[in-house]
Amino acid sequence: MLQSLRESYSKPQSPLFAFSLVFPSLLVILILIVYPLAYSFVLGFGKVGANFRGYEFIGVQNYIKVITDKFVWHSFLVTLEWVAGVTVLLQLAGLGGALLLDTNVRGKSIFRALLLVPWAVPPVANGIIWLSIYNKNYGALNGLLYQLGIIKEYNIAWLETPSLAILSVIIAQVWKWSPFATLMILAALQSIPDELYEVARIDGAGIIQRFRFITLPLLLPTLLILILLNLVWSLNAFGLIYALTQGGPGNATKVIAYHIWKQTFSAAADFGGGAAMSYIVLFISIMITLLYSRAAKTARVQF
Amino acid sequence: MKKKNFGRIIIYLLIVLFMVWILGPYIWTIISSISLPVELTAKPPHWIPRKPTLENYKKLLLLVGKYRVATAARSSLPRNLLYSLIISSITTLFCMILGSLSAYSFSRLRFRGKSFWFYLIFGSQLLPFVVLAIPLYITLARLRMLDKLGTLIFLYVSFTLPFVIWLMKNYFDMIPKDIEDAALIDGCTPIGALFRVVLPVCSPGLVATGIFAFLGAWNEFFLALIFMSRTQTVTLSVATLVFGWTHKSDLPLIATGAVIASFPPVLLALIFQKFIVRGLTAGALKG
Repeated sequence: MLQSLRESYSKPQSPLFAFSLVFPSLLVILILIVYPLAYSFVLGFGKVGANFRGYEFIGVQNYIKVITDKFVWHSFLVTLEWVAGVTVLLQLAGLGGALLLDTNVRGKSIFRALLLVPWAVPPVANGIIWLSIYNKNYGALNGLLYQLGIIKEYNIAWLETPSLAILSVIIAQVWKWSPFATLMILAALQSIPDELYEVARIDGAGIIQRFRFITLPLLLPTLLILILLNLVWSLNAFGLIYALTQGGPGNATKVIAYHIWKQTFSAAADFGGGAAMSYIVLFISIMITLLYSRAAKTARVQF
Repeated sequence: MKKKNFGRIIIYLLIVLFMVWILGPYIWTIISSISLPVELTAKPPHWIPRKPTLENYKKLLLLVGKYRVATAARSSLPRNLLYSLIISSITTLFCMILGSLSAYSFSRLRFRGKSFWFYLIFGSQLLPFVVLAIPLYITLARLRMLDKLGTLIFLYVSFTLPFVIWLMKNYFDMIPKDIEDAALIDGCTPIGALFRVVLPVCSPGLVATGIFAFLGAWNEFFLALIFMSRTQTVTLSVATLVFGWTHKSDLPLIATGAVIASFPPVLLALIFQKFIVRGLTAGALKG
């Protein structure tokens, strides 16, 4: 065995050698990703006893309980609001920023470097930053509106008003991720050859037509990837919401990832229910990815 | 000509506005951290502090005064900083070693089921974290492995590896094969070719990948919260938040906590900005 392994190392193209390079990584990933994935599926159909001992099969009861729970439905609605808000605003901010930085202005490389600041900030620090900005008594946002004469007194409770809270959290998330979107879109913009614009200009295309018929179609693949990443990432978002609102006020910002955490790790210790819910989220993510890649293909053909 | 100048001014104005949006909240946090509480409670707050002070940094980093993290009596931000540093560095080291070996194999060598394994690894990046966290929690609780530094590192390595392998394979794919063929013909083993030829050539990519791994571990919060909740060995992320909640109304103090927690990643990002921007966008252009 050892002899053959040694021989295989000296031969450049031996499959055994090739696999042995991958094996350690695969082992780690199998233990910590594939195994829990399977275990979670089993948990969804059972009940775990006290002190994590024992397992009792209870069929689809967990799933029935979850699907008939109005709090779960509420969380999905909040998640929809959150995911849609973040995705739309992020594309707008990213596209706007990228178009601005794609012009030949001075100091472009400095601007691009500084974009990395919000990107590097930990989600928790992001939470604290906005916690202080949104503070209703002393926060910078109320202070700014007061300074500009827009409000007469500090009377906007950004995080404590149900209708405002979700928007406030969305904006904090968009702040952290708009540099990433900007950089991705900027890179795609810079890969569009100048000659295309030149030719279009000679043919008499205006700025809007050039954007519509050159920039947008060539940007589409990048935008589609970005949107997919945003969808999947924001479906999992937890840290920022935990830091800013803990799902409140009431349940106004309780996205599904937070709801599952609360049910499983904090409030009820309901591992079976948590596993069932997380499998529903997994199923939704897979559906999004599949539907999306199909839609992306058609979109690319149409343009 | 005049119209063109007018357009330029508009563009510059918009860029300034965009940069204020990008940098404003962070700069304000730095300003808050060197302000006295009265300057921030003034209406409107003093946007530029009249008496800037480093008092809060002394309190938190040199432990002057009684500001300790509330989770545990013996826990303090410098200690949490050290834990985060250790955890992130070891995670990065393991990811780089395991990742570069695997990525090299995926990029250059042939073995059975290669594309299956690659898509398995690639796909695992899109999994919702909670799906994995629940069963892992139960298993680790049974094995009495909760609240251990090694456990968290193991988790971080496995959750970071897929991304590292994917990114590094992209870099390796970009390098022409002729370079290492020459080394192989000269009698170099594949491992030798990897370490002497391939890795040096794509060192910018390695730097970017290493930084992504480090930042990922440093910034991670969800797993640290779940798996390291009952000890004093909490990471800086968790500690900063607990601290922020405990001293919610002392805005300068919590701003200082946020600056300390974000200083290492922000500094790293700015120093290596060229590599990072290239690394971030490499994926976008390929797709």
